Amino acid sequence: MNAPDVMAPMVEIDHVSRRFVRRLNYAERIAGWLGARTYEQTVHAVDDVSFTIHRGEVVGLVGESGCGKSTLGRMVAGIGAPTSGSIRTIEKGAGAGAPNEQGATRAAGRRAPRHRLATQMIFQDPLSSLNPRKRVRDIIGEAPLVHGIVRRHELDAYVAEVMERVGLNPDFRTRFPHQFSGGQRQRIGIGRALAVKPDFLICDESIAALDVSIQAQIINLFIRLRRDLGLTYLFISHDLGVVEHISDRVAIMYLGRIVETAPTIELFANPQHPYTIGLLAQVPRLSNRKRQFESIHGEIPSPLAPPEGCHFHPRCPYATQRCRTERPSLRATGAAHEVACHLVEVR
Amino acid sequence: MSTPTLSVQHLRTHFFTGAGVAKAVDDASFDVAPGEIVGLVGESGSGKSITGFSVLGLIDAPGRIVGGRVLFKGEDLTALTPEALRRLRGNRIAMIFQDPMMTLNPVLRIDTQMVEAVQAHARVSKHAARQRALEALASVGMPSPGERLRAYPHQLSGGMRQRVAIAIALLHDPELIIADEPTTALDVTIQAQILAEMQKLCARSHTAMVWVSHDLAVVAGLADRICVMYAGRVVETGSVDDILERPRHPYTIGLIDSLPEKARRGEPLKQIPGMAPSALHLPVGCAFAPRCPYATALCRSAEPPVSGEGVHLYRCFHPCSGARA
Repeated sequence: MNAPDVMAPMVEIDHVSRRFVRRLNYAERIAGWLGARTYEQTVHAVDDVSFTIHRGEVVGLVGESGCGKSTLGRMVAGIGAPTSGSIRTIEKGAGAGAPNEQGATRAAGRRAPRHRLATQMIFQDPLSSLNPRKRVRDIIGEAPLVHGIVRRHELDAYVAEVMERVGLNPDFRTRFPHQFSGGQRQRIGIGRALAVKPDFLICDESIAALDVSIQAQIINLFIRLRRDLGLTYLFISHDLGVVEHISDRVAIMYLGRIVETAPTIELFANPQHPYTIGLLAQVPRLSNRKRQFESIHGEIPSPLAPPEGCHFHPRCPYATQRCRTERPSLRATGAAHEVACHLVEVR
Repeated sequence: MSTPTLSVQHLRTHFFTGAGVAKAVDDASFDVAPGEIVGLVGESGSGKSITGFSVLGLIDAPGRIVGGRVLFKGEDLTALTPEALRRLRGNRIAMIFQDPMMTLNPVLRIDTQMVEAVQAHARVSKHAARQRALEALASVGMPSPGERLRAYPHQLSGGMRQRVAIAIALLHDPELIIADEPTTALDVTIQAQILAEMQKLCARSHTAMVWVSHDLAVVAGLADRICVMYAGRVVETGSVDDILERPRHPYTIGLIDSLPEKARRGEPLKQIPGMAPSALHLPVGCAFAPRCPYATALCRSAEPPVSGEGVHLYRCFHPCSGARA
């Protein structure tokens, strides 16, 4: 195992935003000409996020539905370019002088640059992310064959090797996805990602759909693969218990923005943003028996019309006038601990 | 002791499919006292939801309750006519489903649906029914309930829809609520709000509740007692502390140990090897034996009887010894 150089940056996310605009349809445009108040709706899925992922670390990206964590993960994986800002992947050995601009690259599959293969994604629902009409052998073997990682006569042995690595019996290589259980299907998805020898895996709610005892098996697989292959993970999840267990560093997102980021132990011991504090207090734990549930009041505002200033201020018990008008930026409050809250130093 | 609100005794619900008989629930027994919250915990396919559906007589062909009794205040629900059951459902027994859109009609306004639900079981004027709907919405913590009454389900967020579904369940002050994973699809902060409301309601109105869930941590915070189900059977039942501090059945222990909370950060989790058996092909003897580290020849040939004392009962030939670190 090669010891990961933890400090070397691997992915630099620089002021990335992603907006989705719903264009007016024909009828609405006519209504607009006639004087009706119609306007295009814009969702700020990701709103000016800057973040660095270092080689060899596991970063947990946590947030509730609609906070933009999946959109951010997909952009890092190269699925959909940012509306503004850039995501740079720095290859192993290369200095910061030779970055790959992902926003601009539109490479055809066959000539995909090395960094595209080096970043792979594992999805939430293994059944809908696997082609139901392909055999496992082809699902896992297609990409390495196309990209010249293996030759055709070596393919069978290679697929068997990948399947063994993810805990699947190679005898099942001619089966179809529907012939496997949920946990096994997720293993196929992981095998497909590993087959092109990536060094960076983006796991988007990869264990959310699995049963508790199967979840443990897949988490263990992720931990083992990291040890064996020196992988880097971006682990996107709403499950704080799982994130606490496997991440080195955690970033908390709320309505398109990162509100707090810190090393895992620090974040769970010393959360500072009011949203993080509320979120951590509400995680159900075995040790909290018959407790009084207390909650953050209100609901997540619609990303179509996010509140001014700090997005969290309508639900925040400490909000001041400044929070309602001025957007807080991420500021360091400790070693590698950054918080986007106007009140952090005061409180 | 007073009669329990619900007493499920040796319930068996089987599905007669083309591929064979699926024993979804195979000898499940538990009681729920007034004001008590019982967590029914298990993984998918363990029969926990089908148990809930069986109580309400919601099993459709090819499924059938083939044995056992479901006593509601001493009355056997499995012996009732469909019409008598219909009068109970939504009235004295209510159900809350995982997906509120399963409960709500997407093309009707909330008030239409709630007034209809009130008038289905009570002879009251439309105005009085509307007032009752308003009160029910307010009692589940719905902000500006009058406004929400005029909304369609799609205009509400997931958490709000689930509140409406819960409000509908509460319209007739039921004595028993069966809740089937009602917070699983919700975000953590919304889940905490709903759990807080449910806890208050049960304490206030002395309603008995069965909370079906796969999430031990949620049940630990909410329930008084836990029933752990595996392959159609209740394998262990006891108070929350019994189950979490002194589990005796190897499956319960495996389930608790596989949670990240129980492991050291970054270390591999303890895992239960293999996977749950299909309800079509249950192993002979103890259904957990093929995955159990303590299984012996006895486990693979005979079904373990219920043993234990007091409220802490388990089905195992080789129960693990009490207290754990």
